Amino acid sequence: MTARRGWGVILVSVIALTLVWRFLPAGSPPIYDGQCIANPYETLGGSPAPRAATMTYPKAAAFPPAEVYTAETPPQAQILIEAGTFDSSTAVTVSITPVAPPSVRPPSGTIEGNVYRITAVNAAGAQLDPLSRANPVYIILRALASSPAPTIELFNGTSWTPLATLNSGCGNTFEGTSTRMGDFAAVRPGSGGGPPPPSGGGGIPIAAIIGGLALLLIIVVVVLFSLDRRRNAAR
Amino acid sequence: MAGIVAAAVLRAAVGAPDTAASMPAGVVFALALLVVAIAAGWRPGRPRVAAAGLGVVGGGVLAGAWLLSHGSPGVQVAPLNAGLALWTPIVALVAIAEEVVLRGVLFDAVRSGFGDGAALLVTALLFAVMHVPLYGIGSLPLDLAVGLLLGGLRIVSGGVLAPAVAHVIADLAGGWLL
Repeated sequence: MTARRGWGVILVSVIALTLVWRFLPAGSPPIYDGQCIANPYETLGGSPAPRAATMTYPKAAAFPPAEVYTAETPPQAQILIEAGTFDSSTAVTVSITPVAPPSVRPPSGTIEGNVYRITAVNAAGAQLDPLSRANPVYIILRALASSPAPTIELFNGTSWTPLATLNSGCGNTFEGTSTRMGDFAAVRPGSGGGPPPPSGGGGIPIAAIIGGLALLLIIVVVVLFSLDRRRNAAR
Repeated sequence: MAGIVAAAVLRAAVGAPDTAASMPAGVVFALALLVVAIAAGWRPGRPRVAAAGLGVVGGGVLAGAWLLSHGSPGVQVAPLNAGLALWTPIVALVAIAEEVVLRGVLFDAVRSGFGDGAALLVTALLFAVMHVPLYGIGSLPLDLAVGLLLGGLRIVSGGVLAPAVAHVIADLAGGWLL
C-alpha cells in the first residue's frame, strides 16, 4: 500500500514538473540543484577580454528557436529566442558584442559588469526587433554579485529601461525579458532614484505562478494521502 | 532540522558572495550534512539493484522533463575539461549528502511521528526552500516538484538509494548537457 502511494506521488510530481517547466520563463535555471561552474568575470578592457558571439540563421518560413551565448563559463551574455520571433524572410544574424558603457548612466543604479550590444540584423543590414510583444527575447547577463539583486536594463541610445528580471542562478546570472534589441547591462540598484523595476516575467506575475503551483502541489499530495487513509480505514 | 540549517548557513558563509558557484562551499556543505546524518544515527544500508534501477529511471524523468521543455534547438554534451572533472564528483557528493539527510534521516524521523504524507511534505518543502538562497524564488516550484518526485522514489523503494541516484543524475545533467 505504501508503495502504491509512492507511485501516486511520483505520477503527481511528474505532472507537476511538466507544468512547472511549461510555465517557468525560458532561460530558467536548467538545474535542479548542484554546484555551478563559474570562472572569474571578464571585464571589457581587461585580460582575458570578454567574448563576443554571432550566429546566422538562414532564410526560413519561420525563425527557429535559438540560443546565442558568449564562450565564458557560465556565459556572460546570452539571448534566448523563441520560434517566430524575427522576420526570417531573409537570413538573420544575431550578435552579442561587449561595448563600452554609454555616457548616459542608468538612473536607477550602477552598471555591473559589461554592457552588451545584442542585435539581430537581416541580409540587407537592417536592424530587427521582435515581431510582436508576444514574442519577447530573453536576455541573460552575468552580474558581479547576486545581492542586492541587479536588474537587466536596456539602453536604446538615449535612455535606460529596466526589464522584468529574474535570478537565473549560476554565477550571478540574471534574466530580463525584452521586446526590443539594443544595449543591455545588469544594473545594481543604488543611488539614482529611477522608477522601480517591474517584477515577474512573461506578463503573468511570477509570484502568482509560484504560489499557485506550490499550493496546487501541496493540495494534491494532501488529498492523495487522505484518500488513501480513508480507504485503509474503511477496510 | 537544526543541523541542516547550520549546514546551509555554513555553506553560505564559506561560499559568499556567490554561494551557488563555490565548490569549497559545496564540499563543506556536503560534509556537514553527512556529519549531521551520522550523528543522528544514519548508517548506509545494503545497496539494492532494483532501487538503483528505479533511481536511474527517476533521474531520467528529471533530466527528460527539462530536455522536453528546453527551448533551444539542440542539446549537446559538454566538452570534458578540468573544471567539469572537478565539478562532477562535488555535485554528486552534495546530491548524495542532501538525500541522506532529507530522504534518509529527516524522512524517517518525521514518518515515525506523523506518517508518510507528513514526511513527504516536510522534506519536499525543506528541499525547495533550502535552494531559494542559491537559485532565487523562481526555483521554488521546480524544486518542490523535484522534492516530491524524490520523496515518491523514497516511499516506493523504501530507502535512500533510489532518490540519491535520481538526484545525482539530474544534477549532473545540468552540467553535462548544454
